[in-house]
Amino acid sequence: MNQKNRLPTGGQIDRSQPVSFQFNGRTYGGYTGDTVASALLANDVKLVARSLKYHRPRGIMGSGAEEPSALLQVNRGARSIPNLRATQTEIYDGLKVSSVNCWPSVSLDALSLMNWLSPFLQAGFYYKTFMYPRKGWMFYEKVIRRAAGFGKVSSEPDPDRYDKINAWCDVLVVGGGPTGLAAALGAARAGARVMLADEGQQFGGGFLRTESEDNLQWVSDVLRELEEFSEVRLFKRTTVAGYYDGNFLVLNERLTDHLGNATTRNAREKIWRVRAKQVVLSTGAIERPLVFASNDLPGVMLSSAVSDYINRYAVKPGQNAVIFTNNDTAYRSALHMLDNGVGVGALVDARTEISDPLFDKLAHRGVKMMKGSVVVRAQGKKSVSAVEVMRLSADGKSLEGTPEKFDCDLLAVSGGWSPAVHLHAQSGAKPVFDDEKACFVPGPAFQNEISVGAASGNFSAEKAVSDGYQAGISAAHSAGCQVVDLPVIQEVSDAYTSEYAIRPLWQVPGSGSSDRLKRFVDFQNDTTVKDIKIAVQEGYQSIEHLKRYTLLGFGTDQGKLGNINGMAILSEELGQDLIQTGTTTFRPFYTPVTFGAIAGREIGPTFFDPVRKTAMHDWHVEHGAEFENVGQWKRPWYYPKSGETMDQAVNRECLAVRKQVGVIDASTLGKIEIYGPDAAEFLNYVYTNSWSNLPVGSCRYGLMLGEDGMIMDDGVTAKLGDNHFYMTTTTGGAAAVLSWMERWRQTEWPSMRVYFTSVTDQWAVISIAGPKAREILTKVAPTLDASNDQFPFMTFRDSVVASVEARIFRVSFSGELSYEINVPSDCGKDVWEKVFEAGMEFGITPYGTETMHVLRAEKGFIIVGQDTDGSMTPVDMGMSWIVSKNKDCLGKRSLSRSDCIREDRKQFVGLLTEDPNKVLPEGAQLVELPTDARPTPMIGHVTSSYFSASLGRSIALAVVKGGKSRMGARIHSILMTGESVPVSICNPIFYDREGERQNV
Amino acid sequence: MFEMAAMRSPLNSLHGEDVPHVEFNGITLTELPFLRHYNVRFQPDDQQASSRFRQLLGFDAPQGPNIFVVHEDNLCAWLGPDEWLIVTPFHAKDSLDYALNEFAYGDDFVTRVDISAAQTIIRATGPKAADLLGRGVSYDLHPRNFQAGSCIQTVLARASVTLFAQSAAAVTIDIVVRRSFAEHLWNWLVDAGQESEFHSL
Repeated sequence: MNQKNRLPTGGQIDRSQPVSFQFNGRTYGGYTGDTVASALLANDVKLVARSLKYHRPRGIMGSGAEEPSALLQVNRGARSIPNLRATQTEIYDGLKVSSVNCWPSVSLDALSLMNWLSPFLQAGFYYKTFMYPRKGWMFYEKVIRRAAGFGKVSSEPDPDRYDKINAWCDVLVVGGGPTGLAAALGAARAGARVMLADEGQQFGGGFLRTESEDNLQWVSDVLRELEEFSEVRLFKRTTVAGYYDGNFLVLNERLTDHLGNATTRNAREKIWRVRAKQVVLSTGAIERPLVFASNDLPGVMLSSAVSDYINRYAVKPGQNAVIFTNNDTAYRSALHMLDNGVGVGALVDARTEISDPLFDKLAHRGVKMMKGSVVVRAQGKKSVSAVEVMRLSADGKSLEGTPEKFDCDLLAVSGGWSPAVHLHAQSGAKPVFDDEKACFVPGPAFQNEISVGAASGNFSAEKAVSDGYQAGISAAHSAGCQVVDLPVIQEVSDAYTSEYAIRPLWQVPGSGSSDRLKRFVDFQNDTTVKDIKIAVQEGYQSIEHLKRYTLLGFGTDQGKLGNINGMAILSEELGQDLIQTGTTTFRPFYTPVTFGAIAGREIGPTFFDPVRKTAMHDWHVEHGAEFENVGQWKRPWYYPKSGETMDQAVNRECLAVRKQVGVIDASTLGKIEIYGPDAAEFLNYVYTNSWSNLPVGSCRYGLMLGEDGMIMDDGVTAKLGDNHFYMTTTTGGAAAVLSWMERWRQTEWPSMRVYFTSVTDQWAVISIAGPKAREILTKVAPTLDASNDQFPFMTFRDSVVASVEARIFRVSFSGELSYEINVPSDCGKDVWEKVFEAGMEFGITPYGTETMHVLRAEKGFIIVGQDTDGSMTPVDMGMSWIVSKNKDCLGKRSLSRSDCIREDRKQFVGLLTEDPNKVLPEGAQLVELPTDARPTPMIGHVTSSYFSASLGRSIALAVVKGGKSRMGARIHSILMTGESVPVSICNPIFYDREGERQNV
Repeated sequence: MFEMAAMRSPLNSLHGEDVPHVEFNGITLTELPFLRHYNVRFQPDDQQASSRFRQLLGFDAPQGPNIFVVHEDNLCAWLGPDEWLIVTPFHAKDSLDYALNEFAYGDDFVTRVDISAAQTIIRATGPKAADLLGRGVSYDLHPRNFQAGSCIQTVLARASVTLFAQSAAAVTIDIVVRRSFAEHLWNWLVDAGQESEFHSL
């Protein structure tokens, strides 16, 4: 395959495995081990993207996470991912990628005319222009979003699997370059549990871009030794994306993307939630670009990236290069170019004093060495074709002499290095500015972490390996490992240049001829020097404000290349030190993480939230129940017979309970055993009514208030023995009530002798209700005397039901004769089936929560959380009868607050529509009169609303301001459609107001 | 007395048959159904209660946090300063019942609540079992940290669970889970097991 820029030998690619892939519809060749960026460069493709705002041609600038421009839409269809960096996307056979942000194609981009409009598009343009008319933004936004924006998210469901794992280690080493490898080795030899993570496909970091075989051998030797430790885990393609409190770090491991479309059961990505005792940050450093006119042209590349492409990928990124630097590290790249057939026309160095030993060597090899000079402008249309060089004044503020022009197709730039302090800063520490090295370096640690190697500002790296090794050992020691007599690690010779001298150069001064041209600071957001100047002129001084105004540092790259230059230029404009300007906040994630990975397996109906099932669940399924989610529980909603609508089914179920008998699974009610000599007194404290005189064997309804006096929960509690109660709570409130009671017992009333044990899951509850309920009970519990005399309403009996020991409560939530049969859940389904069988001759009908709601609404029984909403007192709900006057309880004193005794509070009432067939929607607002006046005063809302088959008409429950004293009043309900429905206020008990049916 | 045939475990096994059991990647999951579980509460500084406990059950209730002891048929786990869980096999139900009834008799501040039907145990076995559970447990299950004889109350797949380190060598971790969550947790564990790679911790 034609890879004209591929070097004949060398590199870390696997030449035995050629790969073909598509970029913008054209097929290209490469090798396993290539990234899209290296393969495109091998094929001499330089123009790969268009910029965000001006749609200017962009190429590949870096070779790693810092890449701002070469963003790709990867794959088509459901697996399509937007905005992946070409420099970190591995190629495989059949990979399809395309440029983002251009139409119809990257070389014929229709919106490139934006570049001509650019004088009007500077910082703040959108804020200033699209303000008026205000409603216009709804339209402008759509157009702007289309013009500016990157790749597209697939709208299809994600077919891949993602997972999350928790992990613990003594030492987490971040970054698998020479320093990180040595740190991992030191920690491993000291006996630590070690995790080593690197974002790339290969360990070795900076060593991969050197030409040294010795270095590569060292890497593989260390890896071989590390693999032998059972407590060491090595993670490739794994980004440490976030660093949080408690030395908790989030790692994003990408497992299958590089394999192509191979089918696998394995997760595509994993999130590792790591708690590390110690963290070693060997994250390296990121080279900075230089700021001059048209510095964004394709062909302008970081000098470290040039070395990467040559040595790691065996690709020449150009034929004739110029190098522009202000420090020593680019000299090594110059040598890499020369050694591999890339011509170097000139090396332009802003410094005047240069001590690098390579200076003479390069001069000797014919490179024109230009001290004290700068590139003022790159020329070219879709890629760089020449550069203009001038002399820089001693103060760096102006240019001298006349421009000298050099033809080239590659401009390698190095503006110095910035340690990757991102994770250090995320951990809570504050990077500090190092004047000598002209960069932010890690400050004092805030958590248990240490930065080493280039990440600590040690670019000379002569001791990168031994520093890393020592850091690993001491991290292991701090994590509690016994460190004794470890072998010394051998220093790796001359890994990089040994000196790091830099002349800070944040922007090349204007040259007159190039002043109209753009000098880019943030390449991804098209932020220029001029934008920063405008922002300063308009009064922006804080770096955080500047960021929001100019977009500096936003985007998928989070300003990895541009931030420091931008901060320095702002400082120059404000005439202050960089340290005064400071940095913007480094936030997780280091590079973008897919939503799939964040969601993990906790998606869909199965795992988004636990599904709780009762012991009788399978029976309900077999009998065609539709289910309703109540909290995490699945509860039967209604049991439609074939061809029945929901309304028909509910009407049938309601009538069956009123006329014969129905059965409902009430197992989900919260149940708490309360034991102890102070049990009754405790209930007096948490319930509004008195429990002191309840006889053993009796039940009582109780109401619980929050400290604010508002209704919190309700339920029936039975007295099983002298010091023994059995409390039921609402289905949703069970856990909260138990915590509430434990909290009061443990923190406020520790001297009370009472214990609580949750038995919600212990007991399956089969509730039979209806005139025939006693006949069924008598059949299934032959030893029980179920007569009204012996087993009256609101009492409880121990008995044997269907040969199982049971607790039977004669309580009622339907107003009918009703028994709640509690049996151990193991036997729940069996007993349910036997009860059902026994009830067949009486027409027993299973019913669900909807029918339960209708029946209780007919009786005016409230449902906490439906008819109440956390703002309703017992008085509001017409339940002052249950608040004992003779004792105190939680929340009681709040009931005498002035707000709680207002007469115009919303009060619980019934509503009847004038049209008996009209069923109001729950939540509908209530007003006095339909009127056009706005805002219309709302006087209440509908809390429950049903069609009552027993009454042959609709009924509703509502809360209405001052409603209790307005019986019979005619008010109106306003529907979403705007329709107004006249209703009259009535007593909330619609059926059997005397309560005779439950006492039979 | 119950009729045996009427009993159904939370994972839907009938008594003595159809016990759920899966194996993948050297990890075995199985339900330990129909064990008898009791929640026991008394004051740890109540000398009388403590000595009666020892006398009737034959061992001391563990006093340290997050540990359990096994004595003959009974496993007794510390759940809180005044709360323990005792688990015993079905066949030993009557003798434990008797002992606990005696223990609570006449002392109005000693409680024992039968919660046998409220929870079940899922046993995960195999050197890689801890790695499987690590997908959902925010607690370090490394044998150095989670030693045999430890128990922890935590959350797994959003369900409250108590984990028991039954053995360090051939890693056996018992997961006590509430009945209504058991099927969810089982499905979650089986789904987690779809991965092809698990590691020994």
